[in-house]
Amino acid sequence: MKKATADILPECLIGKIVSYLSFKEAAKMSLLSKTWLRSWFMHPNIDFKYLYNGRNLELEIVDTIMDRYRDGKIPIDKFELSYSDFSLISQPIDKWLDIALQNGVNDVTNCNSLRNLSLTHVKLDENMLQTLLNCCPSIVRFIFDYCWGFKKIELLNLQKIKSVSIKAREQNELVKIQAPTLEHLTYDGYLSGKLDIVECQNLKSLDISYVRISDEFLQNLICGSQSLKDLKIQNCGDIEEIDSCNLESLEYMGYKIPKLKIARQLKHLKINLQCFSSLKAAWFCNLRKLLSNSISCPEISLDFSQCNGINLTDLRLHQGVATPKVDILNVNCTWSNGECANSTSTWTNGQCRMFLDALLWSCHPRRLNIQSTSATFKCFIYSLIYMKNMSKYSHWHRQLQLKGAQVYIFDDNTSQSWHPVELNREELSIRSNCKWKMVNYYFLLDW
Amino acid sequence: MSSSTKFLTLKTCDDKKFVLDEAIAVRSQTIKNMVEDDCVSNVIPLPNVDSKTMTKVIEYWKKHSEEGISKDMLMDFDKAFVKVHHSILHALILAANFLNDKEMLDMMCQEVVDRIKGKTPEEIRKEFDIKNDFTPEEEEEIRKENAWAFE
Repeated sequence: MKKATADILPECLIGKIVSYLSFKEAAKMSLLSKTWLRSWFMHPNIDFKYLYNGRNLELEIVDTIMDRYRDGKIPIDKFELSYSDFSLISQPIDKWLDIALQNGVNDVTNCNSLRNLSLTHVKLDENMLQTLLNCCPSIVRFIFDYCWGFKKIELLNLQKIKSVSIKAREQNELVKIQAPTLEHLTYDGYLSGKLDIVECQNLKSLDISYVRISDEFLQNLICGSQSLKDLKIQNCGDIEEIDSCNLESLEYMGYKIPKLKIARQLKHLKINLQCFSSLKAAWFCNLRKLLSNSISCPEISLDFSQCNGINLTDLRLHQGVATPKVDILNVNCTWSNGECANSTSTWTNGQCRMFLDALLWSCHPRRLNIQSTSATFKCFIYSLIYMKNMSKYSHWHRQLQLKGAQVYIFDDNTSQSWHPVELNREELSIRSNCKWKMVNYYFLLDW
Repeated sequence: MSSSTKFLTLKTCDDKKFVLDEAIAVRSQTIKNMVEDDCVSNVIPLPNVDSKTMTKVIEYWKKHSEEGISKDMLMDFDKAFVKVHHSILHALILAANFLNDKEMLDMMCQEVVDRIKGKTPEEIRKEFDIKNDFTPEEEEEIRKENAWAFE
């Protein structure tokens, strides 16, 4: 009689296969045969992120499963718990965490085997949190996103920690991290958090957002960890200057344009700036200065949706830094020509022209992706035609050194694809798009 | 090849012999241990591996020992390598386990996982010839307990 193939595989190999499956997939496979059922019982990576509703029934399921791990003394390598409904969280959490921590203890080496702990949207009080951190000294990866019920997290004395993610969801949380082995840190301060990082000299990547940090803090961090290669800063207040000496990748998102100091190592630069209030020439000058200090070919995104006026008359006065070279420039111009009800200004063709001049001058992009109204699109195309003609006469336009331009527009009505646009006035006048319709288009610019 | 190249003879359970460069054969931790412990006489017997499976294993070892082979080429090779009937896949898993080649074992197990994902237990039983050894009552109970996973 032919033997069933799965029975040929010894149980330990089926266990290995099951451990590669997600917790949920593995649970499904328990139905295959008794061997698969036993393997599911031993799954080392517990993951309860599927329990979206937190219904009573599901809390019972979690409880049953955790009891089984406790009674069987089954080793737990990873424990992941995530809620999306905060109101129902009640008692059993500390019991579950306790089981996860206790079962991590390996009898032979007396060292805790729990290496990955991920809690999302979980309520913990300060005592639970402290016990938790004391109980897992050998943790490697710690995710603690949108948890609540405490005022302070201190990560100290974690000998093997490599990766930490903390995202606050309550105001004024304090986070203190002292971890010489830490390599990756993600922190979101929920606008009012306070972050204190000491002795993290092995940090390789740092992703920090929505927390007010000072130039000094940033400076200390970059200088204090020579290994820091990837830095991501999102909306962290007004940073004046970023010293990027050892950085390979920098992503910056904010309102104010920082200064960039020495960027020789920098291979990847991504800047996402939002412009508030009215646009002045100085803004573009700062942008050009920032980009001039970088030898990489970055991607820049500019969002002008909150911008309500433009005054670029003195743009021509500022010169004298190296010509920047931007690979891709993404621009969101959903403002202009007064389509916005509360917008006080309507941009004239002259202003549109000035704006495009300023964009090209400050970034020198090879590809310029724009989203705007159909009216603004026409304005820009006229500006490009004007620019081509003007380069013969105007010193300013000659200096720009634009050799040629191709334009493509996305047709979202019929073909759902990109079409070239001829640069002449006749063709544009044929286009009878609604003035306020949003269009996506890009310029390929030859410098 | 330098003159110091040593060759090992491996004998599978169906009495076929394979002569292989030692540097390649020691991808198997089992063989490596035997070589290091000097337990190697003339022929290394592999009582748990048949010749058909061993041919595949050696094909994999040789490709992964090629000098100057790019990562992309290896990835393409691996992708094609695991595209076999489940009976061969199982034989390879057993061989990789016996020979203690962790890299190969991980890859083969991952392939099983990829084949399982997104399928119903019935489909998997059929594809992998897995015998259902539950009574209908037991099966019903497991299904009930794990209903959350089937949602």
